[in-house]
Amino acid sequence: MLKNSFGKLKYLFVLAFLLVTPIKSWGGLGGFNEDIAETDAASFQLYSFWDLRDRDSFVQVTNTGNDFETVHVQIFNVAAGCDEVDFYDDYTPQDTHVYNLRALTRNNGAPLNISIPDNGYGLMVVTVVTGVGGISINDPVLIGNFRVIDDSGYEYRTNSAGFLESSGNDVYTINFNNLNGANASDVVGILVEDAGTGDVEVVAQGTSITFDANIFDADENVISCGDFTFACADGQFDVGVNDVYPATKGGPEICNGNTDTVGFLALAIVDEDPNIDDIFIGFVGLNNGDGTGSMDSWWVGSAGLVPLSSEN
Amino acid sequence: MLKRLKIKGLMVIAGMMLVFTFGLIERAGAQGPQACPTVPFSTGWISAPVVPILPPDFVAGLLGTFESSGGGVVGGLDWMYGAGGNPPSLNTTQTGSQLISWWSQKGGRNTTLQVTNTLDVPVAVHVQVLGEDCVELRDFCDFYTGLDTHVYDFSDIITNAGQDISEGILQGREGTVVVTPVEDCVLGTFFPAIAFNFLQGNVAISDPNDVEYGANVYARLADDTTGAFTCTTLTGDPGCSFQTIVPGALQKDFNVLPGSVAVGADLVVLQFADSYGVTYKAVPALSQIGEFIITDAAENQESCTPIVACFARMGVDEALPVSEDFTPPVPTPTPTPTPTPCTSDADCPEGFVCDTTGGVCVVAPTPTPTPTPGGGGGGGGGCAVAGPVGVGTAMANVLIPLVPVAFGFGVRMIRRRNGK
Repeated sequence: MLKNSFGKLKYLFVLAFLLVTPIKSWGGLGGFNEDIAETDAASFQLYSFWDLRDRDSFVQVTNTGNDFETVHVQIFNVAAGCDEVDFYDDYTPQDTHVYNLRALTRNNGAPLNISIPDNGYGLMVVTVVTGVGGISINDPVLIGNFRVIDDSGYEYRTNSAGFLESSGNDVYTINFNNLNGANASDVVGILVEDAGTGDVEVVAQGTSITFDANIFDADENVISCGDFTFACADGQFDVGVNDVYPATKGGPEICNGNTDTVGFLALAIVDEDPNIDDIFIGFVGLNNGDGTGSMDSWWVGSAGLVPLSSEN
Repeated sequence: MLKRLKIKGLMVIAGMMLVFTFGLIERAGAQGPQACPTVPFSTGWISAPVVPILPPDFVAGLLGTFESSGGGVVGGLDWMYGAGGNPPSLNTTQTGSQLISWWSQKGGRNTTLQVTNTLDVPVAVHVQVLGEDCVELRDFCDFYTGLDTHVYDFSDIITNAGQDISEGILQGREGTVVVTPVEDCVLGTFFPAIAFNFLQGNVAISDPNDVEYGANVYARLADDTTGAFTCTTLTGDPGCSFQTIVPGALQKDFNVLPGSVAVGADLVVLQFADSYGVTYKAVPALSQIGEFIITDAAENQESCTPIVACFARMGVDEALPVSEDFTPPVPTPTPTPTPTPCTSDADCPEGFVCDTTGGVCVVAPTPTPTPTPGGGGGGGGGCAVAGPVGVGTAMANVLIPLVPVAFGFGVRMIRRRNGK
């Protein structure tokens, strides 16, 4: 942490560097510009983390539009080999509904004949479609949130991630600190194929994405953690940051052996399978194992000084 | 005489603005500390149009709720969605130039803010901590080397550069914190804002009810509307400014867990305007928020009185009152059994002996166990029910420093009259 006073000459040099060199926040091999999850504006496709491992999970979906909408709900269970259960549901204008993953009901209150095991966890995707069995359409009227309440007394809550055809660069970052007593984590990541418009369903099974992971501590020391692959599989979907913030529900850490308490994790994409019509979804939660915890999306780097226009 | 007329005119205008301001406060006070005070919806969504008055360049909202459930208190928070107008997009998932967040040291809360520079290039930042009246309470400079991160604890602020910042004025207050990258940052000199779309951050607000509100902060891009971004020092001109984020409406859905017995909520609206120049500053702005339209899961809909504010925090409705009105349930006391009269131990049930002095059965004393080697482990317990929250109604503070504006209006009006 250095206190610097920047003379105008130094500043001009910095700015010239920014304008001339390719903008990249850290590492990465380039060429993996993913669509970015949107959590600030409505979308037609929402992604939510859910978990029933000594947890309860609720996903709320709201149709903010003035039209009747049919949605396709897909629930991927990592604990069951990423098997999917799905159903269609109807939303009248201005309608909202909460899905309780332990007792799923349709928006009209009718129970669904779907039982998810207590050890289940994974990703829930809700997509506006043309009709039952139809394809996804770009009708950005959905907002939502998910709540994961742990039996030990804390809650992860955040807006569901929406699909937006836009791209940042190929580096994601996750902050961590223990000023509020955090001592465990849930770093959730998955590559979803056939995301966006024009498809009957998204695919989560069989996808994978590999990051080159590095931790930067509060003294700007960089610790290389090696490559880590996220996939819809045990030990690859919900993991920990490092030894200080191990995976809450067991499993590996991205930076095994590291004991930094304050810093940020930088993850640069180095490989992905497949590389078409996909979006990366990442959430990170920190908790103290007792009463406090919180979750939000991974950060992604801007494409550069010039923001890309978004298609929505 | 003309001079006296001018002064009179100024005083009249200033007085009118003061009356207007206090009228706004009264309207807000009459509304109560909830957006929709008499509406009982526990599950639904709320939408509020944003109508600029003293035009802002940034408007956003957050909704946090917590509730007593399963013997503990759980809660969470996130930003409201923006719709229409100049809506947000990717502002809490993509790095940007300016970071913005709610902060609170009110009612026993404490805020920590982590700021990260994701670029391997150093940057100076100007941190402004604005109060409920959107006036700056504290500001300071800080420096980040490339790929640097730092956490500000609002109960004891130490900068990344190691400087101890006086934060006493922040305690018991709340508002908006703005982190702006600047050309240079030495207090006492001037520092214009620069484009530096590589900052990100997280805020955590811990509450005495053992709840943590945590979220990514807002990251506002330095915008390029011309498509040929050559601007580095931001002037506020088109193509050389921060992104305008003023949605046509703020929207958020909410729900209460099955079986919850008490709920508290914080619906927060914050905004400011950009003041560019040799020194960039986030300055007060004013908008009407609402009418609030609240809809439940059966699409029953109610509309509620709008507010006019720069910064506001309130509850949602009757089912989700403002957090200060959260009262955790009191455990039901175990009834005291009626003592059994006795003359000997034989008259008493198992586990009891006869107190012949009082003539009633009492619990038999437990013999002291022989100590055994080794120790038992203690498990982390669930969250104990928190003590009662300090009671009091938190009101949105709509005090805006309109008097200088009033003088400005007064001067302009007088000039127009003279120009006829």
